Amino acid sequence: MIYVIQTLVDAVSVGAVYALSALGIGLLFGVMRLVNFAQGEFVTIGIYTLMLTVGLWFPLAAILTVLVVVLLALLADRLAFKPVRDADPATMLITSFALSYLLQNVLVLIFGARPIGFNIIPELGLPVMIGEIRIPRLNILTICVAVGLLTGIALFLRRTRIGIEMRAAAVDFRMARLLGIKGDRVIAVAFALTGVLSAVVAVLFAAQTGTAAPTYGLQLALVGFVATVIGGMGSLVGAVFGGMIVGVVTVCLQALLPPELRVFREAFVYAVVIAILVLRPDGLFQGVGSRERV
Amino acid sequence: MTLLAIENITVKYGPIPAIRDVSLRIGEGETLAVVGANGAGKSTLTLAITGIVRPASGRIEFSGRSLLGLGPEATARLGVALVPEGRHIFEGLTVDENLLLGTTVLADRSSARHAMAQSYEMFPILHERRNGMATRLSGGEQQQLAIARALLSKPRLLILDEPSLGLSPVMVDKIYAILSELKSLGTTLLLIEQNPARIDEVADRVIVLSSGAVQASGLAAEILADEQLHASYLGGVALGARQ
Repeated sequence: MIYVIQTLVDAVSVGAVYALSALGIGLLFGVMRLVNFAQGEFVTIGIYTLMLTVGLWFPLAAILTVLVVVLLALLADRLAFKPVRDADPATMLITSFALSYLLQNVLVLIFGARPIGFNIIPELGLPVMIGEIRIPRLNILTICVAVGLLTGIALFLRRTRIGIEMRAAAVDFRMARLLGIKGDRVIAVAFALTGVLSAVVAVLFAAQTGTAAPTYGLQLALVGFVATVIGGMGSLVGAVFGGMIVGVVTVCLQALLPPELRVFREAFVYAVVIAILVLRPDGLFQGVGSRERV
Repeated sequence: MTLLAIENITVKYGPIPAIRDVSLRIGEGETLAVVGANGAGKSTLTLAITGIVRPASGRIEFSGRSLLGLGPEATARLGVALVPEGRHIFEGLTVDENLLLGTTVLADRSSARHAMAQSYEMFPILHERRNGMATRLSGGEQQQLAIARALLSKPRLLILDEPSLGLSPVMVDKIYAILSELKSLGTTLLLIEQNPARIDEVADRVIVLSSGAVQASGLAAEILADEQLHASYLGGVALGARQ
C-alpha cells in the first residue's frame, strides 16, 4: 500500500511537469494553430540559465530564469513567427523546427553536447515522512507549483480581460480581430505565458535531474505535443489532462512492468496513446483544432 | 455627408475575381441594402470593407480616410462593426463575456460598463441569460447577441451580413424590428441580404450584386418594384414576400 501511494505521488509529480509542458503547447496552438516545437528549447535554455545562476539565492535564480525564457519567447514571436504568421500552417511548423534546431545547436556550440551536472537545492531531495510514507520534498514542491500555476492561469483566462480575449481568439481569431482585439497583443501574451510555463518546467526538471543537456527540452516538448493530441488539440483542459495521463502512465509502467520489459516502457506508453486515439480520434476533450485560423 | 465611399474595388481569390469594379456610397444615417444570390460577392464586399481581405484595386474610404491596408482591428477602432453571416458567437464564452468583447474599442472601463448596461436594456433576453453559455442560446437569440456585441463598440457604420438567415419568421420579425429601431436612432447601416423580402422595411437605397458586379442600384422603392431585376438576379423572389 505504501509503495502504491509513493508511486502515485511520483506519477502525479511527473504528470504535473508534463501537464505544464502540454499547456504551453496548447495555449499557442489555441491562438495561432501553431505546434511550437521550439518550446522545447525554451525549456532547455531555462535549464541552462538556472545552471549559470546556481550560486545565487534560489528564488532570484528562478525569477531570472523566468525573465530570460519569457524574453526569448517574445523574441521568437517577433523575429521568427510574426513574419510567417499569414503563411500556411506547414510554413509555421517548419519555422518552429528551424528555430528549435538553431537554438539547440547554439547551445551545443556554447556548452557542448554532453550533460553538465549541477545541484540547485540539495535539500529538495530529502523525503518528508507522512506515517510510513516517504515523499520527496521535490515531488511535493512540483505538485504544489503545478497546481498553483494551473489555477493562476485558469483565473487569468477567466477573470481578466486579456484572458477572455485570448479565449475568444482561440475560438475565432478573425472575429476577435473584427471586434478590435489586437491580434499581435493576444499572440504576444500567449508566447509570454508559454515562456513562463517553459521556465517553470525548466526549474522543476532541473531540480529533478540535476543536469543540463541540449536535448532535454525537445523530449519534454514531444511529450507535451503528444499530451495535447490525446487531450484534444486546442483544448487547454485536455492538454493538462493529457499531460497528466502521459506522466501517470509512464511512472506506473515503470513501477509495474517486469524489469526485462522496462526498456520498452516508452513503446507501452505510446501504445496507450494510440489506444486512446483509436477510441477518441479527436482526443479526450473536444478542442478547436479542426477549425481554421484566419 | 458620405460616410463610406467605395470606388471600383476588385477583390480576387487567387486569379479569380470575387467582386469586380464595385462602387458604392453610404451617407451618414443612411441604410443601404446590398442584395444578390449566393456567390454574388456580398460577403467578400464586407470582408474588404472590414480589412479581412485586401482589394487588388480600387479605393475604400471611411469618413474621408482610406481603409486599405488597415486590417480589421484598426478598421473596428475607426467605427466599423460587422455582424457576420453565421453570427460567429464565441463558443465556450458566456453571453456576458461575448458582450464584454464588444466593448474592446471603448476608451475606458466605465464607458464599457455603461454600454453593457444599455445593451442589456435593449436586449432583455441577453440580460436574463447573461451567465449562460452563449452557444446555448437559440438562433434568434444568438443573432441578437451578435447585433448587441457589434453595437457595443458604438459603431459609426454597422454592417449586417444576412441577419435573417436561418431564423424562424417570428425571429426575423424581431431582428427587423431591431434594425428599424437602429435606423430610427440614426445608425448608419449596410445590410447584406440574399432574400430581399424584408429589406423594404429599412433600406433607403438598394444595390443588386451578381457575379461580383453591380447590376443595378437606386432608391429602395424603385429597385424593389422592378420585377425584371428580381427575375434576373434574385432568383425570382417575389416583391415584398414575407418569410
